[in-house]
Amino acid sequence: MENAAPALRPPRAITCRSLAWGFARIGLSGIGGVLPYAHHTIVEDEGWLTDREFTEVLSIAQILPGPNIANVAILLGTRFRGTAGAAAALGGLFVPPLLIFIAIAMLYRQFADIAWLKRVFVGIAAAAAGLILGMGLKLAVALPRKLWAVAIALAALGVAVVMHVPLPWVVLALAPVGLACAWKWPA
Amino acid sequence: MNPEAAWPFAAHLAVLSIVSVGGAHAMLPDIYRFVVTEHGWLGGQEFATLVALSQAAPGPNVLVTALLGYQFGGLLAAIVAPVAFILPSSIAVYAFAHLHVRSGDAPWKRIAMQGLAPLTVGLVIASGIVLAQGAGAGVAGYAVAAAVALASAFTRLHPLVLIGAGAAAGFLL
Repeated sequence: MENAAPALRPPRAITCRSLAWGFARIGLSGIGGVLPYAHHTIVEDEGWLTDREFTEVLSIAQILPGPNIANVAILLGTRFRGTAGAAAALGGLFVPPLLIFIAIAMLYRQFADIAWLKRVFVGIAAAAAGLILGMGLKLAVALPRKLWAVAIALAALGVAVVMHVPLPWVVLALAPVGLACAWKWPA
Repeated sequence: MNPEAAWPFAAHLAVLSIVSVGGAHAMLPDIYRFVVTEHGWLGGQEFATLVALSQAAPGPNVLVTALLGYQFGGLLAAIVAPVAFILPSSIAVYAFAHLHVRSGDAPWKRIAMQGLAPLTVGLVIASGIVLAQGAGAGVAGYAVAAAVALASAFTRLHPLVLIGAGAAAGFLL
């Protein structure tokens, strides 16, 4: 794994501790998505990667299964510090925000039954649905302008909302079709 | 509270982990189906609210599984759920990191990204619809969801501002 490290980078700067700390800052900074903060920390603050290297790592992280930011943590941790680096980066990314999430979960449990708060929660639930819809719209605008892309998106939408098919089957059925179409009819 | 539920929930998430494309939000319709429709561990409104809280909290989106798990499975579920959701895919990525030789602009990456993108789009929009249904606020709820969707897609308003607007609408309506 060490031979995958970019040759010009001095190895001294990137320790397991700095990986954990860097990814902890990324994990704690993101409200509504951590990726913009990831770029800031990894490229500008820490100088672990160049812009171009970051784009490449991110593109691989997006293709592989799992949360993109977790995949970036593993790819970078492994590249710089092997197995321990991957564990440090992943731990830094998830453990501090997990503690915050557990605290929020406890508070919610405490206060969820208060009547006016219930109305507020219904409102923010609707808003959160809207935020996710908005993200879907933004992603939809960026789709390849191809009939097959629209057809696959509608098929995934339909089976997930109407037919309640377990997701693994949806992915196993539609992912190969998408890949074949992207290969045959590139955008 | 049902700590026993932690294990089937974790097992379900572990399977999703391997097929997850497009992040945690694309997985929400299936998590909703499992937790609300199939097992009744949470109500739809509670599920939608917890997703909303996860969006207002700092941290990667997958941690929504901790917030959901805590409500029906306690601390045990809050810890094993995100671990189960992250670990299988992480092991796959770790293995890939060892095999991987820098690929530059390899054509398979373009094909993979373009080919999987429509699936992600469909699932994320499905997620928004399922959550809007779950919020259970009727026509007003759909109107809030639609307004927030348009505002977040076409303006640069911060997500927290929009969640705040939703909270105000909920309080007043």
